[in-house]
Amino acid sequence: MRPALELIGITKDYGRVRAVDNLSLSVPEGSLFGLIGPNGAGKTTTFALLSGFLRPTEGTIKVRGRALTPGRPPVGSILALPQDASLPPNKRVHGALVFLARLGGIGSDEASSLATRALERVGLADLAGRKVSQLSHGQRRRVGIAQTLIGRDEVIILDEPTAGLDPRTAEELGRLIKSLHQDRTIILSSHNLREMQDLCTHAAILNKGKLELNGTMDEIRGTGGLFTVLLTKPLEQPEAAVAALRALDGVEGVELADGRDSLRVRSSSTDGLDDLTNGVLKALMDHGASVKSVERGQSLTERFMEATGQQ
Amino acid sequence: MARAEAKEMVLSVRALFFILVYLVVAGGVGWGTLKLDEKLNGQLSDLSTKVTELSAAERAGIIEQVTSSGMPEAVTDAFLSGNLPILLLIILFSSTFVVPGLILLVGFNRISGDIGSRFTRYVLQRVHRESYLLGKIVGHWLVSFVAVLVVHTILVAAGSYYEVFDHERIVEAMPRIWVGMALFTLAYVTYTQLFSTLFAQPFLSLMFGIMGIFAIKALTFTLSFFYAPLGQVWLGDWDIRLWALDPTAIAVFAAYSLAFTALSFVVLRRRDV
Repeated sequence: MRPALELIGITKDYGRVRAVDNLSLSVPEGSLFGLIGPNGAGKTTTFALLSGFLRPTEGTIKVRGRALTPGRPPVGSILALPQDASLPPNKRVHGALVFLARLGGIGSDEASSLATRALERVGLADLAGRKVSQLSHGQRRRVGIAQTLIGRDEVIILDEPTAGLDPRTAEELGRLIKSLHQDRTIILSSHNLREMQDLCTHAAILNKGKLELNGTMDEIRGTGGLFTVLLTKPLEQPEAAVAALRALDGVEGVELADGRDSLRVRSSSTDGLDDLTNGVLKALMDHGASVKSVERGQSLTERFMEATGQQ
Repeated sequence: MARAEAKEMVLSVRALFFILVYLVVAGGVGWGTLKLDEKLNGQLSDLSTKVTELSAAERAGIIEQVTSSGMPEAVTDAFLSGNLPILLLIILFSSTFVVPGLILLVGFNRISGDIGSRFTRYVLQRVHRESYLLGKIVGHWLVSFVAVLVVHTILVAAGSYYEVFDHERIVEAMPRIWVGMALFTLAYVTYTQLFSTLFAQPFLSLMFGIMGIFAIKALTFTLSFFYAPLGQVWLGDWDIRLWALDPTAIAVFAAYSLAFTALSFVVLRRRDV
């Protein structure tokens, strides 16, 4: 896939503090790209650099192959939900969106209907006439997301879109992001790694401003030759079961969890992984195990913990 | 951007504030001048009429005498020819202090406030920075200039209604004054926006903006004792001459407006938002 965005050797310093350190990253066009990292990893700074709000101390940013000129945001190419930006408190919600739409060169009538539609999509249609100052944090967040829906920009950047949202709204937002992804490249960050794992096609893990991992979600989770079997109850004869699994052709390693209710099996090859999985399940059931589910690779949370040294 | 910004500014409380304060100050100064004229048994108003009746030789003599004491020739000439009646001259002189202050007060946070709240992050993904800056300048200038026009019109209308002073000559002089005012307000608007782009805290923009006006004025005044031409390098040293549409004053105000705009643009391009 051709890159929609590229960061090449990007460094950003705030005085003596290095927020992003020699970061090189490529966001494939059409991907739903997750930028993951602990607090202070440089995610928000990276987003602000991509959006052209910040000037990199060093390095180059390219949007669809064209290098960004510092101080000239990629107007018309990227729309962002900035994490800590405020909309004018005295403006009414619908009016604020119309104002932003009109800045983007959209005519008055179209801006109004696009604003209405965007508010419907984020579930705020009934608050269109309310002042921004009268909204809760979560509602303001949704207005911020709504403004990214107004425009024809090919890349949408969402910095922690679900932060402060109730679970139901966050779930609905996840569905909205997936639907947007059909014709756009989306980059988002979230501390909800389960959500990121389910949503994203690609991801990068940052830690202390540096890139730790980058690739497709499958590559990051190591789904190639690894799967986890979850059991409904602990194994009664764990040693025998593990020995039986190790004896299977293609099994490179088996790790039993402390509670004896899950096993991680590593295969030597990705070929014939389905057959191997079936063989593993059969061997386990032969040893009295009751299987709850099978997960390919490690969870994103596990990979995140490994990559950021937070095990 | 310019249209949206202008609409928002013109319909704002700031515009009303500008009009009210300027009306009170300019009206107060005008009223005070009229009272003074009454006490002087109409000598001030007579002076405005009498000077227009002077012979060419008398005018030349007065101009030579007055300009040698520091009064700009263009202003003296405008006064003697009746183009700048004394009432107007006094009101405009008070405006040189009030209008820049009001321009600063209504516009100091137009950009710094957006940067501070990071509203710029919503705006600058949709418009280029130069368009954003020009929108702020145009909106701020429109509000300032229209407020000045409104106040002047109210005062002239009141003067005509009560037939005070040499109102007919004042009405004739107003179009030229407004041309000067357009440039005068533009220069201080661009000055204000320069300070607004420099800081993310609106309070700092206002504080340094006000300090800047006084500091530069004091500096050029002090330095002029050592080298006289330095007394004329700052904008504030040309404002009286601008009312007489002195070409050099026009050039100075236009140059400062351009310089402030260019500097603001450079700052905005280089800074993080």
